[in-house]
Amino acid sequence: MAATEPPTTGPQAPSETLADAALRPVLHAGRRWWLVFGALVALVLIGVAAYATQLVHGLGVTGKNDQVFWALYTTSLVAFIGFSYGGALVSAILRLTGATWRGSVVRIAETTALATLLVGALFPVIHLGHPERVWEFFVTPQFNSPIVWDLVAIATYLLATVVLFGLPLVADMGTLSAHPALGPRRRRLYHVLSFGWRGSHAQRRHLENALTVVAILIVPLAIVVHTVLSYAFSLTSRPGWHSTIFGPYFVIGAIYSGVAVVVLATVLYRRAYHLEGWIPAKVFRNLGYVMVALAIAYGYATFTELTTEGYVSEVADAAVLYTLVLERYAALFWGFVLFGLIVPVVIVVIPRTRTPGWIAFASICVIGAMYVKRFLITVPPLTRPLIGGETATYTPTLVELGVVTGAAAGIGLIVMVVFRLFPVLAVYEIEEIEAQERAEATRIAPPAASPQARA
Amino acid sequence: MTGAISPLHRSHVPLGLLVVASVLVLPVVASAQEASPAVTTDDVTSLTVEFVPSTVKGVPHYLAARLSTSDGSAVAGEQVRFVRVADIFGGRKVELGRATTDNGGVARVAIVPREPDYDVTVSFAGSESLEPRTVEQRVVFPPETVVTGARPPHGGGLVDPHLRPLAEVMPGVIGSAALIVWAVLVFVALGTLWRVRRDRDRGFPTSPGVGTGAGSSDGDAAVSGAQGPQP
Amino acid sequence: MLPRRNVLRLAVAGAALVGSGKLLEAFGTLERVSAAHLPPPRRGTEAEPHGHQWVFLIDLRRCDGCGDCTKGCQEMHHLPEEQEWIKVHRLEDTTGGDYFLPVLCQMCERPPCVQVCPVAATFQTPSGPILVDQSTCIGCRMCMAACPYGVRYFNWQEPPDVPEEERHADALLQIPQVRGTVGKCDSCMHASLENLLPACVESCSMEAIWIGDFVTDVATNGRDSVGLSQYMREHDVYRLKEHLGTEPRVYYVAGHGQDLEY
Repeated sequence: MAATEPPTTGPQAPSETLADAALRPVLHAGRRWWLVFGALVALVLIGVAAYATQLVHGLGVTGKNDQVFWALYTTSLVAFIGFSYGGALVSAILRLTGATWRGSVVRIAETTALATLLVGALFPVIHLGHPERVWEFFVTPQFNSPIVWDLVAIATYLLATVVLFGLPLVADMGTLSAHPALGPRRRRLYHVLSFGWRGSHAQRRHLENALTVVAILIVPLAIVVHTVLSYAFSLTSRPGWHSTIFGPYFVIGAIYSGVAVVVLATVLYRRAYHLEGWIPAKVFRNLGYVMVALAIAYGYATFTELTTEGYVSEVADAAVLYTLVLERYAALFWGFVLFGLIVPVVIVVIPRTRTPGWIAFASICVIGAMYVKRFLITVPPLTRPLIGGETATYTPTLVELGVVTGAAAGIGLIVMVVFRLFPVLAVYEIEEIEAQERAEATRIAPPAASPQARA
Repeated sequence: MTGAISPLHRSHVPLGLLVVASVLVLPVVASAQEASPAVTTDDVTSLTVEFVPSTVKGVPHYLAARLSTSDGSAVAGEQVRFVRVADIFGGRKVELGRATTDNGGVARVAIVPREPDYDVTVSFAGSESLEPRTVEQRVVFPPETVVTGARPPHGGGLVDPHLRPLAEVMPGVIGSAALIVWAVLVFVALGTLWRVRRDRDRGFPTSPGVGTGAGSSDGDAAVSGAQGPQP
Repeated sequence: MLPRRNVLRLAVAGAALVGSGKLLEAFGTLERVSAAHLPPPRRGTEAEPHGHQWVFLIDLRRCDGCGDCTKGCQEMHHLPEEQEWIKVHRLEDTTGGDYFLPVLCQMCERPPCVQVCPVAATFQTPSGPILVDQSTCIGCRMCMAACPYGVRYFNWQEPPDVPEEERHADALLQIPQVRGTVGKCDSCMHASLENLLPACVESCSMEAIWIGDFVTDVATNGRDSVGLSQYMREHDVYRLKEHLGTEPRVYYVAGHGQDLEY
C-alpha cells in the first residue's frame, strides 16, 4: 500500500470508477491519516490507563457518590449506543422506504453504527464495581431486571448490526477483489470474504432477500433496544425518571443523534478523500431534513414532559424540574435546547446554510447537545434527596473523563481502521440502486422514444 | 388519822403484783396477738388461672383468673394483671392486659395465643384487706386456638405482594423472543453466505455496463466479471 | 418480495424455536432461573428456627435525633463513616417545626430493589429482612436506583481494615464490606438469630426503636416489651411512602420528639 496522498484533483478524474473512489481510503494513507490515527491511539491508551486506575483503586476514583451513583459512564452508555441508530435509519429504514439517495452513505452509516455500538456496549461493564463477575449474568440471571433485558437486547442488536454491515460487504469484496491497485494481502482478504461473489442474478437475489429481512427485523429491534435501555431509568419510582415517555423519548433521541453521527462521519471522509462527486450535496440536504423532523419530534417530547410535570408540580417532580430548567443545570439544559434543537433546524431550514459544511456543523451541535441531554436525564434527578437531606452534587473526575474520551477516540479508531481495510462506498448497493432506477426509467418511459415525437 | 390506811398485808403482795403485771403486760400481749396473722376467713387470697376458649365466632378466647379468699368467696372489683414471658430475645415479659374481677371474682383478658403454651404470671396487687397474690402458671392452649405464621397486616395497596405475574412470564418472553430473533439473524446471515457461495456459477455474472457475456463457469472470480462499473 | 418457500421455511423455523423454548421450560431449565420463585436462601440464612416475621417500630415522639443508633450500627458492622445504614433525617413537619426521622432498610414486602437486581444478589428472606450477597453483587447499582427510601450505599473504596477475628463473610453478616458492591442495613438478622437485639435498638438511648415479631406478637425496645398488634393499633402507626405499594415493615409512631420524658 503506497503511503501516498489522495489525488487532489476532484471530484474525480473522468476515468475514475466507483471502485477507485470506494477504495481511496484503503489505498491512500498519507501523513494526515497517520497523525490522526496516532492521536486517537494516544487517547485510547489514556482511556485504558484511566480504566486501569479504576480497576485498581475502585469506583471511588470517579466523582460518584451514594446519591449520584450513575453519572458519566451511564450517560456515555446511552449516548454511544444511541449514536449507533444512524445505521438502522440509513441502512434499514431508508432501504425499506426506497430512498435511492441513501446509496453513497450506507457503508459509512453501517460502520459508524458498528463502531459506536461496540464501544457503547463496553460501558455497562466499565461502570460495574465487579466487572469480572459478568459471567453471573449467564448463570443466575434474574429475568425481572431491566439490566438483563439490556444484555439480551444489546447483544441481539449487535448481531443484527454486524449482519447488516457484513452482508453487503460480501458483494463488495467480490466485486473489488480484482481491482488492480490492491496489494496481495488485501486481495487475499477480499477474496476470502467474498464467499465466491460474482454478481450473478442468483447471488444478487439472495443478498437482496437477506437484506430485506434484516432491514425489517432491525427496525423493531432498534425500537426495543433503546426502549429497554430507558427502562433502567423509568422502571424506578424516582421523580424525573418514572415517566411513561421515556421509551419513545430515548428511541427518537437515538435516531436523531445517530443520523448526526452519520452526517459527521460522511462529511469528514468526503472532505478528506475528495469524494464530492460520489457523495452529492443532496445527501446532506436529505439527512438534514431527517434531522429536522427528529429535532421537532425530540423537542416535542421534551417539552411535553416538562409541561406535564410543571403544570401539576408535585413536590418531588417540581424539584427536579427546577434544578433542570432554572437552577443548577439550567445552563446545560438551555444550551441543549439552543444547540440541539434550534440551531440545527435553523441551519437546515435556511436555504443558504443548507450546505454540507453547515449541516456538518449542525451535526456537531446535535452530537454534543444530545450527549449533554443524556447527562441531564441521568444526573439532575439523582441530585435531589429522596426523603430528607441535602442536594447532592456531581463533578466528573479525570478518570471518568479519560475513559469517556478514550472511548470516543476508540470509535474514531475503529472507523478509521475499517476504512483502511474495506471500501468506504457500498459499491454493490450503489450499483443495485442505479440498476433499479434504470429499470424503473425504462419501464415508465414510452417504449419507442421515436424522433417523430420530438418534431 | 394514823391507822386510817391499813398497810398491804403480806399475803396481798403476790395478788397485787399479778394485777400490776397484767395491767402492764396485757396490752403488749394483746398487741402482739394482733400482729400475728390471724387465720381468719377475710384476708387470704387465692388466684387460679385458666384458658377459656371460645366456640362462638366473634367471641375471643380469654384468659380467666379467679380471685377468691381462702374460704372460696369471690373477690369482686379488684384489678388483676396478666403478663406472659414471650419466647423472644431471651425471654421478654409482655403484659397481656389488666382486668377487673366481676361479681364472680373472675377477671378476663382476651388473648390470641401465638405459641402452643404461655408462661403466664397473674398478679393481684393486694388491697387494704387483702393480700397481694402472684401466680405463675404455664397455660397450654388447644392447638386449634393457636395462631401461627401471622404476617404484618396488608396495607392499602391493591397489589398482593406475593403475586408476581410478570415474573412468571418474563423468562419465557425474553427467552423466546431472543431465540427467535437470533435464529432468524443467524439463519439469514449464514444461509445467505452459503447460498452466495453455492450459486456463484449459477446465472450470468451480470453487472450493469459490463456485458461481457463470458460464462463464469471457468476461472476464478479474480479474473471474470469483477471490474469496477463505469460511473 | 420474499419467495414463498423462504417464508415458509422461516415460519417453520420460528415455530420450531418457540416449541423448543416451551420444551426447555417444561424440563425446568428456564423455570429454574425464573424469578417467579424468590432466589433460594443464601449462605448463612438457612437457620431460621422460629419462623419470625420481623418488623421495626420507631417512636418519633421519643426520637431526639442524637444519632446513637447510627453510631451503634456503624460500630457493629465496622462501617466507614459515610455509610449510615440507619440515617436520621431532620425534617419539617406540617406545623413548621422540626422532627427527626430515622430511616433504615424498610424491609419491603414488595421490594423494588430485589426486582431489579440482574444477578439475584439481593434477595428477600422469608422472615422479612432483605439481604445482599456481596460475593455475588456485580456493583451495577440498579438496586440503588430502584429503592425509593435511599437506604442503599455503595462501597466506593476499600473499607477500613478489620481484625481477623471480627471478620465474617456471608449474606447474613458481611464484615468488612466488600469494595465495589452495595451495602445496606441488614435488619440485624444475624443478631436476632442469636436472641440479641439489633444494633440500633440496643444503642438508642431514648428507647425509641422497637423490634417486633408478628409471629409471637411481641415488640421490644430492649427495656420494655409490648404486644405488637395491640401497640400498633393503639398508636396509629404509619409507614413511609405508602402510595408506592412497597409494603414496608417499618412502622412509625407519629411525633416530634415531644415525649422525651418517659
